Amino acid sequence: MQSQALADDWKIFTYSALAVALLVWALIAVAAVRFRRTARNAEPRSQKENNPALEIGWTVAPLVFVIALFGVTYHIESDVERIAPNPDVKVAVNAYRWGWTFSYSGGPTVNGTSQAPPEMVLPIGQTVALTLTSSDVAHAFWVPDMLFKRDAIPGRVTTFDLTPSKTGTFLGRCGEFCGLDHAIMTFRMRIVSPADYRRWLALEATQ
Amino acid sequence: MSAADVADRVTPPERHDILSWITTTDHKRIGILYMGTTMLFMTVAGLLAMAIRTQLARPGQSLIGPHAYNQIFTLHGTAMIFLVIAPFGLGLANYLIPLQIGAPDMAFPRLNATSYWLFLFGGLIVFAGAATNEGAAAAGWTSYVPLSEITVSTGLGQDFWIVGLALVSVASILTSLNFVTTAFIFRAPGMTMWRLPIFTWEMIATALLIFMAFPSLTATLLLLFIDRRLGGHVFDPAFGGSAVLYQHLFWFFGHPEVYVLILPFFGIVSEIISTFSGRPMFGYTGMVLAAFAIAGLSMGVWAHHMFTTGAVNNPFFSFVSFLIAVPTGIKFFNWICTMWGGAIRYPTAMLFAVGFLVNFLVGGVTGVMVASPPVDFQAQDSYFVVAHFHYTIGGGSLFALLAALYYWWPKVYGWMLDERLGKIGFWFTFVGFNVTFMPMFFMGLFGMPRRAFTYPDAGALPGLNLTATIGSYVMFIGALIFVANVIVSARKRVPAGDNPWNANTLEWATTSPPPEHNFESLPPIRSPRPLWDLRHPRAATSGASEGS
Amino acid sequence: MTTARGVFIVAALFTGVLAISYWFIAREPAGTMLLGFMTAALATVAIYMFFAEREADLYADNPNATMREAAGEHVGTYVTHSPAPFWIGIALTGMVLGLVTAPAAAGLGLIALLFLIAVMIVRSR
Repeated sequence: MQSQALADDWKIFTYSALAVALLVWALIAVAAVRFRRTARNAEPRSQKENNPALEIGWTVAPLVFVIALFGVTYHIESDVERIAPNPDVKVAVNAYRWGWTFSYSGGPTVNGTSQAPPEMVLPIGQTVALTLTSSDVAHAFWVPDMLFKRDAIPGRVTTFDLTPSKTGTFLGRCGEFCGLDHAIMTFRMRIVSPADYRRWLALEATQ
Repeated sequence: MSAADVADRVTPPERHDILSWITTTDHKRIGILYMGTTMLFMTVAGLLAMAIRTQLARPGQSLIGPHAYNQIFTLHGTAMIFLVIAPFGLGLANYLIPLQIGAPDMAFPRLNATSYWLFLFGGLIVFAGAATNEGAAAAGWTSYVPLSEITVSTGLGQDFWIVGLALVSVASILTSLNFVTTAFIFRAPGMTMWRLPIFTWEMIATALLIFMAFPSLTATLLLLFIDRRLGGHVFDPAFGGSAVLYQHLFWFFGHPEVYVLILPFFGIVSEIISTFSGRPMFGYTGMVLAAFAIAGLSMGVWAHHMFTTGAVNNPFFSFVSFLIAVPTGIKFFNWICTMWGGAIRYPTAMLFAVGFLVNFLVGGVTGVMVASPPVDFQAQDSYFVVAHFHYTIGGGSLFALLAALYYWWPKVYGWMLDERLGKIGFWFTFVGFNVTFMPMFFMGLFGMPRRAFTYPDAGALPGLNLTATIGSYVMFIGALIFVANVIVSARKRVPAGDNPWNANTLEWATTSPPPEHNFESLPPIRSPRPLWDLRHPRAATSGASEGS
Repeated sequence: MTTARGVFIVAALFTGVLAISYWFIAREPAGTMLLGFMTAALATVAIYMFFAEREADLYADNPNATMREAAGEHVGTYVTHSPAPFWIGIALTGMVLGLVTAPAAAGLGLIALLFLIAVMIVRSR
């Protein structure tokens, strides 16, 4: 999962949506205003109700457009869903009502609730494989700054990977309605340098 | 023996007492019952929405705690979808279909009435859950498992929700059977299928959708009930069941349902735009084919609600979801071309119809956005999606609903709604609606989840939420203006006459309100616009193809 | 009747194609079964209409039909009122509420429903 790819998809689709909306709004505005009934425009100009060329045109052109959009989507999604064969870090995430447990493979287990949210520390530039599940109801692991969420469903283990590209602390939250504390079931994702990450691991090992 | 002799012998005079309304099987009365009931449910669901917006006006408020809040948004969504928008379309169709096809009633009048009572009682049962020990259902209108399983949602409210909706579901299926049979068999002489008004065509497509999708809802509700109360473990992962299976079953119904929520309103807008532009519906054949293309394709997109599960074939559902944009676009271009070259009058109904075009466009293009899984990975379960579906159902269906009220009220009651109050109400509703829901796209992009009773006091969220709340109060004023309009107009009772809008379909060829048997006599039917042909006897009818 | 038949035939064919392509693309059993059942339901109606409705000859489908041609035919009397729908609603409501709260009430509701349907059938003869 690369946030850059996700951001690109957002840009392409937002601009496409805006372009279509502006075009059609303009047509609506012209039709609604120019053909108002006034003293000079008292009767409709014609009762013509077909234009086969136009009708075929506005079927084929949008069809081509959406197929192109699908092509873009498919390409970007394949990129986003790719899972690295040999990740540097592996974290198993368990969501529950109402908190998160992060179990680092060969490392510490971090737990936190909505009252005291947990923090997932990750090294920048290294591949991280996250496996997600839940021990009660459906939740979702959502980091808005990374433009990504994935559902944590009991009875299923879902995997995705990410390679952090920016240091900082990013808010994470639950993205699937799960009851009373759904809105405050947060966590933090802190991206640090690989050296700081090793230091953090060592610190956690002593606790 | 003539038809008149038969009529006098078997038709008693029309009754107006309460008992006659409880035992009625007249499609017009059933339509009024449906639409009136949806107005009452809409009042309650609307007040629930005002409660939501008031709680979310500032971050960290505790006017409404999470337990109450979860019931409130569950009831708001359930009511608006199942008890307001869908049944209003069905109720209006109940009133209009026999009139538009030149029939005296529906094919199965008693079944029709049964559907109404099942809808009413089902809806009341859903709300009655609020009076149970642990309150009403609180798992969202989608009621995902395992959240709605008995181990988590322990109260009776969830069961009331299940059985109430089961009744509503059965009612809808029975109604759809009635609509299709009536439209196929009960048309007047000369009313070939390709001369049907667009509204009736859209209702045939809607009925087909209900027929295809609602059995899945009924089955899903039954399975959920078995899990909850009869010892089942269909959806319980701890016993080998599947939580994802519920999502497949629910959304197989749930996605066609949203097209049930819009197709009747496409029909309403088509009728109104055509009448007030003074032109025929442009591209009639394309409109009909597009309606069925939308209905058919909508059966194949359900798992676009499950893109973030990682459990479904995203590309398949993404592709079919993109395809639906094409017939929807065809409809938009046809509406614009109907207006093009016309002499457009702007009574309130036409204002709401154009408002529909402006608003639904936003819903449509943002729908194409979330059809792309990488966009949906951020947007799913956030306020972006909330904004998207409120633009389609609110900015679209609700605006068309209001347009329909202003357009057909004179036919139903025989008197006009006040135009000045109507236009003022339109502007409050239009401005209020957009101020409420446009910020929500950004709220979602910036990470605000849906179904959340509060949000952090950081970034743009507090300002966006306050703006949305202010917009909702402006919309509320618009709603009050409509109520005021009804009261004021009821006092004035300006007579409507048979055809106050100079419209062209058959319901305007009879009195306002119509007699119990609908028509004293019918004009000849040689095109989709019989009344136009009456007014222009020598004009070559450039009607749609005259096959059957 | 051709258009009406066409609606169901095309719908059944379309959903059939959808079901088959969904299976080969996604290999997902739940969705395939749902699409398959939907196809079967539409095909049932389509096959019926294809064979049984061949001879149907509605005045409605004649583009040049006049009201006079069809007038005078006594095609039946119209029900304008009936107490059955309301009571069927009550019976079903009792039944489902009984399912949730008190199973005995469910049984009563079911009996009431069957009784009402029997009454309706007898009275319409």
